[in-house]
Amino acid sequence: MSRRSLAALLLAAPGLLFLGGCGATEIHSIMFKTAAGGSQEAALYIETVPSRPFIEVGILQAIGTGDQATTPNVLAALRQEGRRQGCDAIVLARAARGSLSAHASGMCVVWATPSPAPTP
Amino acid sequence: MMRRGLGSLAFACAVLSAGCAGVRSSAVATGAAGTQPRSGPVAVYMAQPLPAGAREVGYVEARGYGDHDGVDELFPELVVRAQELGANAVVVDWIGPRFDLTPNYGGYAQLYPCGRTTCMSDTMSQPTEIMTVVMRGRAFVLPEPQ
Repeated sequence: MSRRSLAALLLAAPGLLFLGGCGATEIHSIMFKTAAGGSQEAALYIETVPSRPFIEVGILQAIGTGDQATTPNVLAALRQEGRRQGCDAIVLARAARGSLSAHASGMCVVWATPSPAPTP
Repeated sequence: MMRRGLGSLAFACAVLSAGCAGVRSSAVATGAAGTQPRSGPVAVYMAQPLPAGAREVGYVEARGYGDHDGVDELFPELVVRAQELGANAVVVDWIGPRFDLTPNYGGYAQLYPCGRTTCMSDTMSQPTEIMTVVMRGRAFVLPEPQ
């Protein structure tokens, strides 16, 4: 690497660090029961509930700041946490965004009845 | 004099921090008076219907900001408030943020010569957005199992 490109890299590094790492997503949860849902991605029901019977097992919350303060980011984080906690779905999910932070929350549920067997 | 000033400043800081930090909560009784506070388990409802015969006894709210805006801190506070109203169930109606702009007093004044005198210009910083997470619910007394 030439001395010139090394100097350019050193000059650009603080800017790259600033652009790359300016933001965070926090996850909070409170579980009332142990969720032993499927290993599939938790379904997200925005401000609605599914018609299928379910059991409420906990409340999930995601808070994004800086460049992570977007509605898609906090909803994706909520869904990821749902999968980690074993939720089958996250119902009554809501998201809102300010100028510096974004917030999403929802209820983690598991299906009350096993999923129907696929029809041949 | 200097010592007294520092003492007053420390007291003001302590009062200010005590009034703002952590989780704050409130409860308003809406049912018949005379319900005794209770301890023990509290059933939680958010998306499911309440069992028949449930009696509403109050409105409960918890709010937090900064490091205290997580549901893991807000929900236990909501439960304590419901228990104070004599409830054994709580319906979580709403969880969401409130965004407030607060003035930022980190501005500075600049002095510069203008003509035969000195002028001053004030530069105020932009207001800061503060997010407060609010959890609202209703407290209920469920009928005892027969």
